[in-house]
Amino acid sequence: MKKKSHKAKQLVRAMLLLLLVITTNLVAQPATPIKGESFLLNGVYYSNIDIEFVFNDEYLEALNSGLVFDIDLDFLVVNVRKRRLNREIGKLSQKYTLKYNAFTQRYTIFNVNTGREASRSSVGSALQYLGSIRNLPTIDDSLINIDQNYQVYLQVSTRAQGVPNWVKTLTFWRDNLDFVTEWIQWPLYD
Amino acid sequence: MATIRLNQKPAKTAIFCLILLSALSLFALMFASDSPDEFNKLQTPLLMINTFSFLVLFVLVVVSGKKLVRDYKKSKLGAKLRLRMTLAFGGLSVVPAIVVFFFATNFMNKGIDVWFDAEVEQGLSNALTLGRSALDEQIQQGLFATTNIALELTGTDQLDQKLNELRDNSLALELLVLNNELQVIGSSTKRLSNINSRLPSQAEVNQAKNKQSWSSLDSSIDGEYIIRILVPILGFSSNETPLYLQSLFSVDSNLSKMADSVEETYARYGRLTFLKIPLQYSYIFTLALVVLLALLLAIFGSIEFAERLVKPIESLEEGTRSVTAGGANTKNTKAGDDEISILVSSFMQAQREAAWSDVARRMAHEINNPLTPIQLSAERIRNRYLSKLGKEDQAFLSSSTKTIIHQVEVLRDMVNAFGDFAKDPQLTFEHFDFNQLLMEAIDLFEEEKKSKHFTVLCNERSAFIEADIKRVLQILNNIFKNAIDATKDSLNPKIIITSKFLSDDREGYLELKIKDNGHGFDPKFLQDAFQPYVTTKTKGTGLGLAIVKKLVQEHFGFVTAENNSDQGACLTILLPIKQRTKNKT
Repeated sequence: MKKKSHKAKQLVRAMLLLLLVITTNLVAQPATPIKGESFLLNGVYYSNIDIEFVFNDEYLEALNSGLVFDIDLDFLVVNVRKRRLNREIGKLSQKYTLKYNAFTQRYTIFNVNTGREASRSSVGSALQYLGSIRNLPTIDDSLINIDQNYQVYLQVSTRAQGVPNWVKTLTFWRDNLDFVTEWIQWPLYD
Repeated sequence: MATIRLNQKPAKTAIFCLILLSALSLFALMFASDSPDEFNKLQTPLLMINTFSFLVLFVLVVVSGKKLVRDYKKSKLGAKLRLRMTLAFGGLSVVPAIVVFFFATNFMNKGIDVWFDAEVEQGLSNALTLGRSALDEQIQQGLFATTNIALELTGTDQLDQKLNELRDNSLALELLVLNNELQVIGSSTKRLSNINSRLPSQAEVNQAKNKQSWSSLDSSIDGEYIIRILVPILGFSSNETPLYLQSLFSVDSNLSKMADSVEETYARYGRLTFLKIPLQYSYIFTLALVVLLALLLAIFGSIEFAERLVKPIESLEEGTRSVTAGGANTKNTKAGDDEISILVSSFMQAQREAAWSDVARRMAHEINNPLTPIQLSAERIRNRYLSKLGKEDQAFLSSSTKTIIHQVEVLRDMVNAFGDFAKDPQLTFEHFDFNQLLMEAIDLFEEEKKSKHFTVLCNERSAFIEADIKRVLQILNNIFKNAIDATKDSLNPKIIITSKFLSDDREGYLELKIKDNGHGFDPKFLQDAFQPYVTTKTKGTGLGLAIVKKLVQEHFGFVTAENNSDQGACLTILLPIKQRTKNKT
């Protein structure tokens, strides 16, 4: 009996350790989409998105060392249908780069889609700027049938430029600064 | 349980292809490294190929190794030798590979460390500080100019007109007046180059409010720099909310370029520093994979090599055991065509011949002893009783004793043949005209000569060779007998004999070909035509060609047999023109 209870304790410990590892990884993730909402304005659906960016020490070291980060926001607008497969009606990709300029000592955020650039003096404010996306044109109203149900999906990925793929492959056990979040979703309209 | 049979051709081909693929991918990896982009694209698939090869080879080595150890434990024939050879060959490759890996890793790490010299890093940092100091003066000038503009704006009614006027008189690219809510009240813009005009953030405005000024250096994606100054406009109007003036000044293009270059170099160095450890790991991993692949290949090769090398020796031991057990082991051992296999094959052949000679000698002795008493007894019976019997009995006795005496003669011939085969070589070499001996040998077959069986084609009138004349005559007799027997059933029997020297300098061989149009050799027995007691004839000892071979070999010559493409067979004998002195007896 004693042996059995000892084994059970060991199992519980191992599971707790595993849970700790998993939750640590979850906490440590560099990007977490918090929420999104969409609204109709002048025949276009716009979205406001909140993403929490938390760069750990390794990410900060990489950024301050001169590595440029690609931050991609991938949107899908899906027609959710009853008894039939869902249909994808729109796809949108919003790409940003984040880099640190050692000369100006500022963090530059470049919107690849629009060509607009912004800079912040601290990484915190730069990530805050990136995490608060407002009035992003998402889909034209003409593509939407108001009688049907639509969901907007969002996935965020962060990737460090300049880390060769073969290095990533060979150092698979290390964090290679590539991260893709889970998809989050919200209704296009209520 | 299924086992991998490496001696199967498809398995060998697959392994060879894998090794070839692996070698090619290693070469590709080496050449791809010249171009970073190509390297980046190719590295992963090439590494995958090599990893796959490594895994396959690893499995093969483990399977072969296990088999080897199992054989060794079971004390299987040749296993000990195979294990020793594998360990020796494998050990010879393992030690240098480990040494090379150790040194290569060490040198590689040192080489990478050299890239990241602390002095270089400090130098780059200093260059960055120096560049910033150079810009500080321009920022101070901009701040001074902006403060003056802000003072001049106090109490202005027509803001935009005043801003245009002030901007024209200064070096500013843009002047913006904002309220506390960051709304633009007035502006004047000259040109903004590639840098987007942007409004200050609330934090920047707060800073300007608290410290009376705020300045920053903005950069564009093209590497252009702009100085941004923000100052409060003091006492613009006593009843209104506080206003702020933002001005933009361009940085000298040369200074901008240099600043960008320093920044880019600093960033590149930073990137490399960050990638140092992953790069080291990656190089070590690649090197380890290559070394392990080579090592496994060497071990696998040594196992295979040891097996091949030991195989003929195993056959030799098997053969020896068989001979020792009393069998003559007529089975041919064909292990390969290398020197060891040939040596083993020759040794086996010699053992077989020795065994047959021994058998022949014993038979000759055992049979020969009772032959004389049998013959004498038969003759005595005939002499004593032939005259005393009636006519009918006389005929019976005469016929019976004749048969006994005739069969004894046949047996005696056989015994003589056995004796010839078993006889040790006692050769007396002398110079003689081979062609003349050939004609004399043909003369012995009078009947066949008359019926024009023989056609002799000699290249030379006389062909002098050094050989034992009696033995050569015996060779010719045996061959002619065989040829005559073979052509017995032919409608138009023909035996064509050709003799010629194979080299002009007379130092080589004399070639004798005997071609007949008889039934030829049974293809099943062609390979063993010269083995003792191998015959398809109903009458015969089966020693004729075996004796021919033995005699030819005693002369250091060669004999081969083959079937003609149309009909009959052909025997080819090569006899040395001159005998080696030390072999003369």
